[in-house]
Amino acid sequence: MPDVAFVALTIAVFAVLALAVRGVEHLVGSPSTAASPSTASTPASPNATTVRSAARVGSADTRAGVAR
Amino acid sequence: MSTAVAGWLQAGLLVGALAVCYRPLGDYMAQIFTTDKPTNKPNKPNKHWWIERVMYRLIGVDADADQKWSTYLRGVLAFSAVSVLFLYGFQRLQEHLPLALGFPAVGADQAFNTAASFATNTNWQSYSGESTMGHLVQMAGLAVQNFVSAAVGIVVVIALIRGFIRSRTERVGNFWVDLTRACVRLLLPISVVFALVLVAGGVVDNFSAAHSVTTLAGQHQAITGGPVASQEAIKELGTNGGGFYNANSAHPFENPNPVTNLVEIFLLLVIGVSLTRTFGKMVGDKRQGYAILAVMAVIWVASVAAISFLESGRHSAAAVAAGGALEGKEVRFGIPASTLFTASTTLTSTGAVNNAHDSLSPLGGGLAILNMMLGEIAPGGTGSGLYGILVLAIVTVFVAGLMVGRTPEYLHKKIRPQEMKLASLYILTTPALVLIGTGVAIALKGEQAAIANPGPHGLSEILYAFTSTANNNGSAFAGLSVNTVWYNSVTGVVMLLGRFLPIVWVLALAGSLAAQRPVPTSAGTLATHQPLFIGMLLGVIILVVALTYFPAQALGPLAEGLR
Repeated sequence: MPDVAFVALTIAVFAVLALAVRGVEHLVGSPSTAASPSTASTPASPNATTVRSAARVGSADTRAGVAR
Repeated sequence: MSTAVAGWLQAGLLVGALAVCYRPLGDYMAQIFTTDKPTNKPNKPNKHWWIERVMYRLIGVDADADQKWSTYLRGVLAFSAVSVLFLYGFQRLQEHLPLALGFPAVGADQAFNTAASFATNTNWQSYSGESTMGHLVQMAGLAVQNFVSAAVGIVVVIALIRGFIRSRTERVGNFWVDLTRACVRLLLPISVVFALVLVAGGVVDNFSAAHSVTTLAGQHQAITGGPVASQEAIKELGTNGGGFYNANSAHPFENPNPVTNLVEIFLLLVIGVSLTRTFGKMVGDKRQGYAILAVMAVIWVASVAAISFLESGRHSAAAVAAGGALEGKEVRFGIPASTLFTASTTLTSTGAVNNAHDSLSPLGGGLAILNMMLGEIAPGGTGSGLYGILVLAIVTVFVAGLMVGRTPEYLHKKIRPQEMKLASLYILTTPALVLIGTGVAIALKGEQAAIANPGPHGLSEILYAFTSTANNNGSAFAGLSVNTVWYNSVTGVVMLLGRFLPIVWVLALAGSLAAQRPVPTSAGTLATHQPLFIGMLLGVIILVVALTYFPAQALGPLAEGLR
């Protein structure tokens, strides 16, 4: 019985942490909505060029290993 | 040789050894985590070592894939959750395992506490190692976590650094690759070398069970051997701190003489110090690393000097007769080597001790607590110290921006509201855990019984316990009976939240920074490698972090010291 309680407690703590991850995902967003120097005050208006180039960088990076 | 000269000599040797290792180790760590892109050319060596490739195949990882920051973070959390559950089960099944030395299974609450403690790099121990854990649990359970929990701290700061240097991407590396490399290429080789150094210095390393001996006074005593040296090296190198013996590094089998003492202090500082070089190298401006190192050095020197001064003071007849506050200190080390160890272990997340912190002078003990309250950033735990001070650097450029009316930038990335929200969450998390935990423990009548000393010192004992666990330090003030279901459960949860909530904020910060396009340096950019920034960062650390805890310090160590 105590084993069940402490395993459940461990799972509960990590569930809370998983919820925190979900929360910060909303806060951070994606590169397509990230502000550039020229769009710092207008984060809700990503232009198509930014989105396309970000997608290219993302796909290239996917196989970039741990390169800088 | 006078005590003061011996103290200066030891500190000088330590700083000299750290200076010698700073550049090669820092550059080596940068090289580990900054490998070239994958190559299929037969005449070029594969970037993964064969042992690493075997491990990737075993766990089914695509080692050439780059992960989004959120995937990286989920990897950290999943790995750590499995680590906690595995270590918990290991302890609960101890009596059925080989090399158990006849010890029964560890109690459920204590097993949870210990599993959380070692998986979070805290190594808070509510048990005596030599009378609770068999050799197999020590080696295959606790020592394994000493390696991987230290590696987790390192890879998190590496991901944060990548956040600064990458642009318009969500990807910050591959957690499994980074973790494996940190263990295989960094922690394991250094630990093996220094385990041999410690064996040569007299640290025991065997599979002996307890030997029963008769003391000069005619009493019987059980003396346990074990694989100590092999665990001692990673205990210090990984800023873990969990002792094989209850007396930790005050035990003659773990730390026999002043030479091994100095080696252990060197080990617990070397990665944290050298990571600033890694940081400077990876961001392409080594001066940035030197600036962070300067802040760490100022705090470390001030702490060592202040604690040494307070412990050398002659505040009582006994201290006058002994030449200093020697209660709780090993005479084979003396005051300088004890205070050097105390300051270094509480300014990192190590938590190993070579003297009884409960016996420090009230203000000396208060400084040890303050060191942890600063967030263990000088140089801090493996990785965790650097990411902690980088978050404070972000806060500093934000404050500087407010002062001059410019948009704050750090390392060519703008510090926007979302970065500040994450930095603020980071700064608030640990104090909340410390102060709420301490307050609840004091409010509960049942838990008050665990306090051995009345008055301000009793408050200091509880404050120390929650400061140590929330900051993943692991050292204990003693004088507090923490092996109860309540303390084991609550401090276990505090250790988990104190470790992983800040990691959540830091990796989100990494993702947020990586998503940005770099901004060019302008006339309004604060130079973050110059003395002005170093002074401002020190000011922010003192004002933002230390003052948060001032009321609690005032009611505990300060009240006791000024009484």
